[in-house]
Amino acid sequence: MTAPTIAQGDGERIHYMDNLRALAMLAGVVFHAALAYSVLVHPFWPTADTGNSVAVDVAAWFLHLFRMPLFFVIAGFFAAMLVRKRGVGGMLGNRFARILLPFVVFWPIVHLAMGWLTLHAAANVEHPSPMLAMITPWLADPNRPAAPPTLVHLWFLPYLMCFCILVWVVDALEIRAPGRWLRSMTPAVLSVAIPVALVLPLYAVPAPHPAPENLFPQWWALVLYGVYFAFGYQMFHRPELPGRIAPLAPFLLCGALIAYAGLYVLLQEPQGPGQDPLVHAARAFLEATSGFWMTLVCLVYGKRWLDRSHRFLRYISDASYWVYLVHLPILFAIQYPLLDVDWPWGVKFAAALSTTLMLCFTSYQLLVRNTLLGAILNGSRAGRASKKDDAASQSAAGR
Amino acid sequence: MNAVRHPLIPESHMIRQLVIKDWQLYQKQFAAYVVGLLIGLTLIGAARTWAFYAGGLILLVLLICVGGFAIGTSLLNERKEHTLPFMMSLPITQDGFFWSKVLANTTIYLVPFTIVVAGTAFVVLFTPLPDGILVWSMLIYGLLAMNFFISLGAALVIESEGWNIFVQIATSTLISPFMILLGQIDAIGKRIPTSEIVWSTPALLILSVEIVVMILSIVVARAVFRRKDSFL
Repeated sequence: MTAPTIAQGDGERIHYMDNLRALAMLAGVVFHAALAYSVLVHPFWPTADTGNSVAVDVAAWFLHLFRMPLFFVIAGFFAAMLVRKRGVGGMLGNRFARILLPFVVFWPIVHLAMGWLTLHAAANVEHPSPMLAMITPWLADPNRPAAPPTLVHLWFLPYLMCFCILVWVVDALEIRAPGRWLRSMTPAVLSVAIPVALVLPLYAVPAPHPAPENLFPQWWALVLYGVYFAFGYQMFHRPELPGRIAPLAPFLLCGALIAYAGLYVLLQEPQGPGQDPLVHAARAFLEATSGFWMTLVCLVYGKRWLDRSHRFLRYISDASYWVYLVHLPILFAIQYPLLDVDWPWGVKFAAALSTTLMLCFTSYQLLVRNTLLGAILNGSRAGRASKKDDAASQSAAGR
Repeated sequence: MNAVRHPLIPESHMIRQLVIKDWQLYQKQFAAYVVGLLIGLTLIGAARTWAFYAGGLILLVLLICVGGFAIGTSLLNERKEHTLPFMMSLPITQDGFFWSKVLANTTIYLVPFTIVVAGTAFVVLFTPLPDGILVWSMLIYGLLAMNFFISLGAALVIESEGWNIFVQIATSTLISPFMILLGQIDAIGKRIPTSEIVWSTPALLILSVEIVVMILSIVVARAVFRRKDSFL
């Protein structure tokens, strides 16, 4: 592997990466809670409420365009840090323990819980969402075929594992050209070349891109998130990159907002069979541009404003993995009964989100933080980690 | 002349070192197979009929190649490149050498084999494909594994590269007739389009024969190997 120009994460924690990762994961909780009140997914989301809101749609889908890309950039960054500290074999061993093991343990539990909650809601909710109403007659059929299991919101774990294995593949096959190519690009070229490269995978799916929940890998998701992961990996070897992008950040932010506005307008056009291919290509381009530019903006402003050790942020960062793993069944358990409650959507949204976060953080404090589970998820017992072990535990926990 | 055990180095340590050595030599090829595996699985996940068959074919070819190349790299090349005299100088017995080769090859083969078998079981059980096809597919995977162990056993005891290639090709040519044969056995073939998974007596018998042949291949190879005067 290529030696970094400046040693990052050698002696101290890279706080802004930690904090950004925590925010990206918490943004996922907000996004999933908001989907119940989204106009766009109203026909497909199991907890879709009657109180549709365009404002929620605009904000939630904007967040969706860069929260997971940002997460994969950070994951690539930490994978490179682990390779540097422990070698490719050490990185893989660590990833198996921190990614594959939690996935193997939590996926069946989350999957069963979500299935049970939906069955229970279909039988008991008086004002079902269109999705619940659609599956109710199907559930009544005793000879119904088994629905194929999905990865639910934990889809990112197998993809992350896959990218880490591909790091080993690239190393074993001594493929150096893509890394050299990515490292040689100036920030301005990067901000154009990467969105262009992402148009094809985004063209292959409806906009905004769905979650690749299928148990088999989806090529578009491998390319889309793989590019972000590779970008993060190379960013570790170019620690000066956020600083070099910084002068462009205000323009990138404005550009991302304009691209998203254009995308939102084009989202009103029909999609699927018979769609205008030019319109869909434009949607894919705007999606790619907005997503990548916002990811860069987050990295620049994250380094500027979040690059400090803060007790509260560190706690959030430690808890975020657990919170993300368990939040969806808890959220659904709260939002299904709320379908029958006649409250304004804003109140329901706030109640569902705050209760979910409260339960997730409480369970983290009681069941995870100072237990073996916490050690598995975060690399070391967070409450006991010494300053000396700080950087080591960060790279070990870095997903 | 046989190598003797070093009094200070436990044999298990040497076996481990040899397994690691074989893995390191094979790593590059295995990395390429991982890419193939990913492409195959991605094609299967594309939810299109042509992609499903293309992905399945890639996985099947990969399984045959993984075993063949592993044996070629760790055993046949070692003879061809005359690295065996060096192996003989190591503090390891013939038995230790034999088991290091069996362990290294089996591990290298079983990783993709398990992924492909598990992937097939998932596709059959959780997609509209009839569940009855599961028994048929598992028996074919059993044959692939059996072919691998026969080729491994042959490579351990037969020094001629030509004969080893013959064994690998001969066992691979069995696959198509075996698939047809299974389809013609009523207790297996007629159940393919049904939704029931039935391990009938003929199916269990074929599976047992496959497992017995796998074990016998290694047992016979070990017996022949022990009669040899040296590693060569």
